[in-house]
Amino acid sequence: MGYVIAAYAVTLGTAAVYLLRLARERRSLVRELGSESAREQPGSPAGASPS
Amino acid sequence: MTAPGPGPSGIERLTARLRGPTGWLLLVILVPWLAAVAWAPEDSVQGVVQKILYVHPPLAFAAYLGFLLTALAGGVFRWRGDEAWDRLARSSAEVGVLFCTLVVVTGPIWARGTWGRWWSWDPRLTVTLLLWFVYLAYLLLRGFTEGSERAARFAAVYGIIGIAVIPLNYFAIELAGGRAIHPENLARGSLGAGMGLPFLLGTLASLGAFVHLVVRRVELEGLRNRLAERAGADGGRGEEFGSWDT
Repeated sequence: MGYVIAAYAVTLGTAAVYLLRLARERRSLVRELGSESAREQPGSPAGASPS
Repeated sequence: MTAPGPGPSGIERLTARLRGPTGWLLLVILVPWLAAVAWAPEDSVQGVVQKILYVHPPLAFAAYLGFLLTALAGGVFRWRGDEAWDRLARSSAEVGVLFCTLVVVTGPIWARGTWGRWWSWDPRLTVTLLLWFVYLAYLLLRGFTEGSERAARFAAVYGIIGIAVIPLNYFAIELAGGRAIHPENLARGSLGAGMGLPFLLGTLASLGAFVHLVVRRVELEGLRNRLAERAGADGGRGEEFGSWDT
């Protein structure tokens, strides 16, 4: 039974870690793109972060 | 006033739309799959360790799909020259390598439980390792030549040639002519009673996970590209990343 649990745990765990990494990087890029847009908008304070 | 960055390509708009539905679909498949695995009957020869069947070949199918998509997207990139296809090829290769890594890890776990050893230089195992190395090399090439159009065009050809290993891998047992210890490919009716459903759900879960991860990975590449294009439009960091360097 240990081998079965190991095979499923490795698979699901690795996929979950990869998914989390993608989600975290997406959040950070969206934030960065948002702050770039805010900088481009006339009248918006430089470096203002989006809500 | 700076010029706005370009909008997302058709592929990226599609992936943005697919992110939510594919995620929910994956969640909906995962739970019944794990339940079906838990309730599946034990194999009379191998015992409980045979339940690795419901994850190991499905991972291999997703890896095959990843490398086929890498080749297809690479071919379209060569033909049309649209960078979005290159980003799809690269994303698909990365997720394909992830699935192939899991095949290479879960296989030895199953082998240890049934054959009593972690590894054998069986034709199927050896060619799977070769397939993994081929696309790992693709990722290394892309990683070391970030931003180079020439490397992207070379990688597209490499990705297409690499898929020649897939039929070699799939038919390795037949080609070995009885010298293989890896079980033969599954055929219709070769699974015992009650084993078909967990296998089908496992295959759907694996393919669903592949699609969802590729969708997310492509979206990420698109965001990086937009950020790089904006930085390029600002005239500052454009040479740092994102702009083609031939």
